[in-house]
Amino acid sequence: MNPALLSLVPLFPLLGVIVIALLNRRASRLVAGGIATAMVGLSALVSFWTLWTLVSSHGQTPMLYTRLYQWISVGHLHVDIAFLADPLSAVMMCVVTGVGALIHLYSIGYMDDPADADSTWRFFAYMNLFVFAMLLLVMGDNFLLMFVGWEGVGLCSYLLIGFWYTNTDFAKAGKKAFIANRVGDFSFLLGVFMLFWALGDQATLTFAQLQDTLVAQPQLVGGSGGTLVTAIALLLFGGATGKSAQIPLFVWLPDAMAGPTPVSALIHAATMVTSGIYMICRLNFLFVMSPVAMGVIATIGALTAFFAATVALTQTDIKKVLAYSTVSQLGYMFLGVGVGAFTAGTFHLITHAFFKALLFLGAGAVIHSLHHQQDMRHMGGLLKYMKITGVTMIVAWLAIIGFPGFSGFFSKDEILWLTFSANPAQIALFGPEFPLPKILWIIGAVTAVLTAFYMSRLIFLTFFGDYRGGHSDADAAADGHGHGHAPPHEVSPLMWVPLAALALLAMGGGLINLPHWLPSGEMSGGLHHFLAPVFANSAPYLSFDGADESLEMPIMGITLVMVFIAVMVPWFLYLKKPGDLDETRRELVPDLLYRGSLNKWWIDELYQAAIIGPILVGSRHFLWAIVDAQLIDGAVNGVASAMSGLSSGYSRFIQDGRVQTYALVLAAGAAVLVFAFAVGG
Amino acid sequence: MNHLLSLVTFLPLIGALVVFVSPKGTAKWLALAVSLLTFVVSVPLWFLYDPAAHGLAGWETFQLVDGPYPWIADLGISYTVGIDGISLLLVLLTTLLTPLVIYSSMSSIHKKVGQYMGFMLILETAMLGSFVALDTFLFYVFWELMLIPMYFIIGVWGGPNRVYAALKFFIYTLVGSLLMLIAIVALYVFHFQQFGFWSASILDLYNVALPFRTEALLFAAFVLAFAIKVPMFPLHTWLPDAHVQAPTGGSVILAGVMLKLGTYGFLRFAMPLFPQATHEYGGVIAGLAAIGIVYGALVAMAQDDMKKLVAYSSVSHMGVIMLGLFALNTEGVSGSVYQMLNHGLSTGALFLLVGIIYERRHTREIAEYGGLATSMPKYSFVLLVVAFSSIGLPGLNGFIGEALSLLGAFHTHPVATVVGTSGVIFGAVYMLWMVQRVVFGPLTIEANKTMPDLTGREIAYLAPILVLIVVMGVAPGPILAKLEPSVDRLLVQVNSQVDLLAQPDVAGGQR
Repeated sequence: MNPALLSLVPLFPLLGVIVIALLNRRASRLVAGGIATAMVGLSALVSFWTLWTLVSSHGQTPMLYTRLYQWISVGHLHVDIAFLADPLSAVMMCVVTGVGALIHLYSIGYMDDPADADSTWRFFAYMNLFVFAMLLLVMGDNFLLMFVGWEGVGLCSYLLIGFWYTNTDFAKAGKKAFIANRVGDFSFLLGVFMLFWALGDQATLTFAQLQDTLVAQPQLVGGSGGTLVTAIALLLFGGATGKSAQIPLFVWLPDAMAGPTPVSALIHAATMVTSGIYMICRLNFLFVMSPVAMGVIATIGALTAFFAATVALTQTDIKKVLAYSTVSQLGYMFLGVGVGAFTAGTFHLITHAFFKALLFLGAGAVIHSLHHQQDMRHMGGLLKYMKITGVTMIVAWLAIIGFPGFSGFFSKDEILWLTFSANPAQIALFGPEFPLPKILWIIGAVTAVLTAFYMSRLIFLTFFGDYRGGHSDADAAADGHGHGHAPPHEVSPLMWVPLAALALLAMGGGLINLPHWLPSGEMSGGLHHFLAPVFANSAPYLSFDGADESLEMPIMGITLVMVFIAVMVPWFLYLKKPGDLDETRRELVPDLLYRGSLNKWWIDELYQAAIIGPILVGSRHFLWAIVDAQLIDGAVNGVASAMSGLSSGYSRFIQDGRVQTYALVLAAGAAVLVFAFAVGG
Repeated sequence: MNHLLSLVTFLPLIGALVVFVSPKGTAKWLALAVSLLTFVVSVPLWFLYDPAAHGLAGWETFQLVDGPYPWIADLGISYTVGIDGISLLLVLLTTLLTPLVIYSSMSSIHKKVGQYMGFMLILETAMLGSFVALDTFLFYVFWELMLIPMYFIIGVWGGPNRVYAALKFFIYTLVGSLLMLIAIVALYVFHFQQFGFWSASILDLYNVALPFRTEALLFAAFVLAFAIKVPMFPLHTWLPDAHVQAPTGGSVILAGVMLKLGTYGFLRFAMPLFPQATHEYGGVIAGLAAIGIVYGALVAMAQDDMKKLVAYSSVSHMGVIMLGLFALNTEGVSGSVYQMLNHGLSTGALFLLVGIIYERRHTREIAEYGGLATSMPKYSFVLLVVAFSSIGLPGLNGFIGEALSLLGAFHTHPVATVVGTSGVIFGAVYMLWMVQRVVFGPLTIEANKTMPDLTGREIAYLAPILVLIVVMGVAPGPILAKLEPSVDRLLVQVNSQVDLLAQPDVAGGQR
């Protein structure tokens, strides 16, 4: 493949944005959606061609590269608009455009509310803009171009969360997302600045050059384990906590569910939120130089995974469960890359893109079918009405809980196993001897159990049991607040075809990286071998204890048994004994824990009280009202009136309206001044 | 070609004389024609200025020089104008914004239209003159000349509290100017003492070498004058009052161009004239700049009045520019100058946008709006683009200037830059909050439901700015290329002299 063709990948969706924007209201849902889907589809074709070129060359072509023009060149800084497709970015390109195209197709069916007829063109323009920005993020060959994509996807997220902008809460959710991301970007930018200047005369922001420089001269950033490289890595990771919704900046993602559901699937599950993981993988050679930073990443990842899972246990809004589930799964990915299992992290990123996009789209189908009902307490038994949606959702459920053979099983297992066997020295947050890997593994395993619980709960409450909505065949007649809606029904092929396609991927996605213990020959560790060149420079820093390999099977077995139990509990609670849910819950869980989970452990309230509130109040009532108006202005006015007893006379003079006279006086004054120099000299 | 710069500079003034005496109906069109002509005449400057031909010292650092023509020959005061890459861009910013402002003012100014337009044109000459003057006294005359038309634009065509605002503006600026004048005269005398002839030429004054203490004093006087103009925290309180009271056109010019004269003053006068002091006190100024970034943004957050919000956002943005300047490296200073252009465009556009809804509703209270995206989709789109330009979204112009300024400054003043970089958060907070309250949400207020969207004329004067916002973000190359030799020359002057003087024998041997 001619590398110049790489430019087409981001160019197609950009073209889509332009065409749709030019057509604007003239483009109907079908036209705008058709254009948008076709553009992402074309982009996907080129992406897969790129991937195939790299795969089929068996390492002969390590990467494709094309440069459009020099973007910024000043001082030491030389940055191009240039695209890079190495194995890592090629895989990402395929995920973004492949899953993206399916979600675009689905959206044509989903966005059929007549109330939106005038604005669907906007929706599709934003969606294409998003794909464009996401491709810049994964294909940019330097920090700044990546950052264009990084913030660009944030912009699209902002626009799409607030797509129904007449709802103030939705608009606020979009703003919250952008600002939380900006907090991360603040950290990210400082990391970039620090890295840039650390390199001295060899300052560069281009990834390839940076890698060469750091591999040859690690002392530039203080050498392995140095304070400087730790600071840089942590600052960059700070950016990832914003974009990828980790502690402490995850708070925006649950609110982001205000956007249309396909947006949640594409942006807030499959692609944008994985940017942080991609960034760390892209810079693996830098991160591994700091075992402390790696330890922080792994720990934050594990804690986020656990924390978000505890919140997902009690949510009743189907999208909120999935949102926290996403935060939790992203935590797994950070756990993976944090312990140095970059391939495993990327693998989980891919499989998660399949099954989480599917879960969101399936939830969207349910919501669409139930006329914007998102509360699971009003669902139930939907499998009967929506066979395709139900079956595909069940596939996704099996994938996410790690049912053997499904995609999530392989990727999650690999992360957990590599966490267990990681050398403590490479995640030396608490020193090189501290058994952090084992502790993180326990957290990860417990989270797997929680995941199985809340996902089973979601599936059982939604698709099994009896329909609890107001519009089933049985009680449609008795329904007091009915809107004349038909009973739940299967969605149109535009929507279920993408569901089916994703279900196949969620089922078989594991094939791309089968574990070594399966007798799979050539297929074994496919992704691992393909990505190996990208992570080659970090390999010397990492080791995984092979001696424990005999433990791998038993550990997997234990996890599976626990997961099985975790599935049975909700089955018993919600299906077998579907009594008063509140009462059952009260018998089982202390009230404080329940309310904590339901209220997301009051983190939003904490931030409001500890940070946002004080800033707002302080700005208005202290900085503005006191510092500005009284201290500074008071001083100025004081000086002014002290200097000139004439000031009252001045203002009377001007208020008389004789400004022209004053102008003359002033002009004369200026003239005298000039003349005075002349004479004075 | 020799007189091209002078032509550009004085064309508006000549036009103003005619505009003043023209009848109301003709005056505004005449003023527009004059300002457009000035723009057209100024465009060739871009092509004639050749960065490759940039010399490293003396007259070769300036191009298109007109003069020196003896003005007060015995005193060495001359009329000399010329440009380098930095002033070139600021001149073009001025000639571009002025016609847009005049065009936009046609519907908002109803009394004494001729005089308003005339003052605008005088102001343009004064601003252009300040950017191109290479003689210190000539610069001072233009600098002072700026004050008068702006004083009247605020004082006559301004809001209810215009007199207070105009007077505050006037006194603040005048205090600074007078100090600067004293410093100029002192420098001029020192030059005579050292070289035996009188000269006010900036290039001659660059050669004056001073003992540190003297240099520090004169530096302080210049800094005060320019810091008020910028304005830097804590000398900024004239700005919100002036902006709120000024008519839209006045605000656009004030924020778009006049504030840049403060930062331009730093890089043309204060820094190269006093390199030792620049290094010695650079940290203090960078610190104040960083405080200004955060302070301006936080106070902007607290505003209920759109114009005041934009005014305080200027304090914040100008802080970024100052921080970049005092980075004293190519990245930072180039970014800083780039940011001057960006701020001129985006803040200018923000004031125009506030003016547009003010004309329709006669209020600037944020709470009076909401849901405009429904009734004014085009307006909302433009506001969103400009807001993101102001926030520094990569891909748009603001990012290039902001990122380069901060990147450069991080090297020189890491702590101040960490504080200043937090502006990327607060900037997003106040701007997006304002956008949310103005254009999103339901249309609740009756009067907003029938607000007409942008007119053709409004689109016409916003479009050039929007195009530049995008083009300057995607392709900053040509502008940065014009800048770099001039920035490097400035840095050689600021940095190498210090290295020289840092050697004890040379420093001791000065006087």
